[in-house]
Amino acid sequence: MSTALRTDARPRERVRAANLLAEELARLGVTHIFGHPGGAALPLYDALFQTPGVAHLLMRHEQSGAHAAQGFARATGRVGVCLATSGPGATNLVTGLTDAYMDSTPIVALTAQVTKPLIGRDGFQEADILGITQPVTKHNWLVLEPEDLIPTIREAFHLAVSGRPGPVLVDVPRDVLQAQIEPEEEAAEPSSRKRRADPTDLRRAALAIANARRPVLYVGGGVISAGASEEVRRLAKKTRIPVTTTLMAKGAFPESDPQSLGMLGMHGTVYANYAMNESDLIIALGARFDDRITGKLATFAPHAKVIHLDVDEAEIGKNRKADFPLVGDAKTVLHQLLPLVGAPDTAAWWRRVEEWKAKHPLRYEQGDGPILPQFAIDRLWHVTNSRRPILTTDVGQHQMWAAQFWKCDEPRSFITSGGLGTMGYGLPAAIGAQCALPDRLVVNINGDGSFQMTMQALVTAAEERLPIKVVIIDNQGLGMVRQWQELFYDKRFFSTELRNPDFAKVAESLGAAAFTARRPEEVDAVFQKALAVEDRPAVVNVICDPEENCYPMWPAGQSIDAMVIEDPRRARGEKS
Amino acid sequence: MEHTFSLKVNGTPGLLSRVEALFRRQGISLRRCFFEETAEGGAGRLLIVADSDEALCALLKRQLRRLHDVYEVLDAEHVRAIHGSHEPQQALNKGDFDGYDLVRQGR
Repeated sequence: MSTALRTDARPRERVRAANLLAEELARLGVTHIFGHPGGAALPLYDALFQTPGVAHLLMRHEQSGAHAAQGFARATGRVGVCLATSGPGATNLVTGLTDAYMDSTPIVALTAQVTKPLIGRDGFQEADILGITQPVTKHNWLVLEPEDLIPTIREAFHLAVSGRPGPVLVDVPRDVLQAQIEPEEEAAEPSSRKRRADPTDLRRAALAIANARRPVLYVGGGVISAGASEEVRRLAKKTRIPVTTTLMAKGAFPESDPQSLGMLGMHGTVYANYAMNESDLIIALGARFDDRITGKLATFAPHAKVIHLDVDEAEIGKNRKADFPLVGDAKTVLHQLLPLVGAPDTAAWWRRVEEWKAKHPLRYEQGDGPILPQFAIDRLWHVTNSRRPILTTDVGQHQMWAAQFWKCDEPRSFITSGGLGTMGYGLPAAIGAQCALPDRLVVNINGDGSFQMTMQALVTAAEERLPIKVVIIDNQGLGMVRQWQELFYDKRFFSTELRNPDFAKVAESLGAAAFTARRPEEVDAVFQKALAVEDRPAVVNVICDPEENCYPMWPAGQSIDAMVIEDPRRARGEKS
Repeated sequence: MEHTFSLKVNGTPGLLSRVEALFRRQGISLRRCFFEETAEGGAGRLLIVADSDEALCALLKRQLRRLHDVYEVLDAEHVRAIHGSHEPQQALNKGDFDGYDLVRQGR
């Protein structure tokens, strides 16, 4: 609008910036904010109090606020929002922001800052949150002029979801929140054209697929971010190429489909890893050749050419050379690619893959002894599967067992901390997911170690009457670290045994229903009881075998020959 | 080997630390660095000379390109071509910017 027109118009009433911010959040479609108040943030809290339609969940630690925002975003693809006050409130967000950066999760963190005159003068609860979060955000802003506040917020929301999604942070000093300003004109939605791949690159990639004899589709989290699961399914069906999904891509291709090889990587299936290793063409879709996937890069998939599709150009060739780079949005590019591809001759290849599948299935044997974690997770899947649950996990052995035994057919139904491996992620992420999708069954598989990182978030879940199900795979220790001590540090177990509190009592006092399973035959019934709880969270503590280890295991940084397929103790008959 | 990174940027507060952080993460210290605003509102050009091998240089350029305030990362040939063209011109010509001379000499 031109200045001339503006002077003709009725002078607009000036409003407190914090109120305009709260209204703008509502206008941007924000329904839930996961936050914790404090002095500098008070103007915004006062404004939120006056703004209908935006719910605020009072988290008991800002880290949980960030993870809840991540859970919200991962369940829906919409921006998750967390809010913290200046100083310690803001610094507590750092882990969640880093996690979101590693896993390309679109969240907006709003932080309050001390008043402008105090910035840079070590004011009470001042932290240079811009400097601190710079390496772990797509971008961040300190708003020094009240007039910049609303345009910055709009830009932040746009940037979080555009291109490769990720976290952004907007830091707003208290006096800027308090300032009286004129309402901002409503702006048109910024255009977000999806990047297309170069036609020549596409033809070369299609030709490579046609000529491949041992191709593998290696599907990563980018496919879920781009909403390209259907396109991947069509590509797989049209080409008859086996599909393996990363931890971040579980559900991007149905794991119940016979073409699925399940998850690959350090604790992935033997057949997925063998297929990658023997492949002559890896078709990487929104995946980044992480070290948990490749082991020793120099010996990884030595015969394979690589088609690498990614929206982020910086991923192309970062770890593994891309013979056929395709830069663009996965959904858009796959639409371009689909008409160009045919089915290569994979008959002989499939025979080998099927042999591997038959020879090395994922398995466990639950005997009369203590509950095996795999059994508990498998039973939980069977008991809940008909209700299309959304699963969140924490980090550790239980996460890898969940990745192995929790079969996912739908994108956005397996929410976990992949890149950063953040203990404490799962419970708050479940809170975020349940807020986003109130009608869905949300289950969190947790560990006894990781549960204790953020268990106070249960109070918030109880307060909000969220019927999430938290299942603790309680092996009385930090199982994955213990496993490494056993295998690589000559069984010098140190600082990995946990003397846990009584989780049932803890959960009850935090406002949740609580159940405990100690014997294999109790497991199903206890899960059923937890599923019947509808008005508050339910926690199930499953007391498991502390000595069970997670296999297959392909030790870090090694060649595929180093992969240990089965528990050596079981192979020697020392363990049931 | 010395590489020259030539960037079209938005010269906001924090720009340099965002850019430098990518080099820091690789343990690379900058040899020379020059920034000048070329248009009102902060748009400008940033020239950096640093040691890196070819592969790292390519990765850094891609990572620089995805920074919100970096509009464009020009390749080395383009940097050399700058001399004699009209843009971004005198900004680089003036002063004692050795990095620029290095570029000009095509080394």
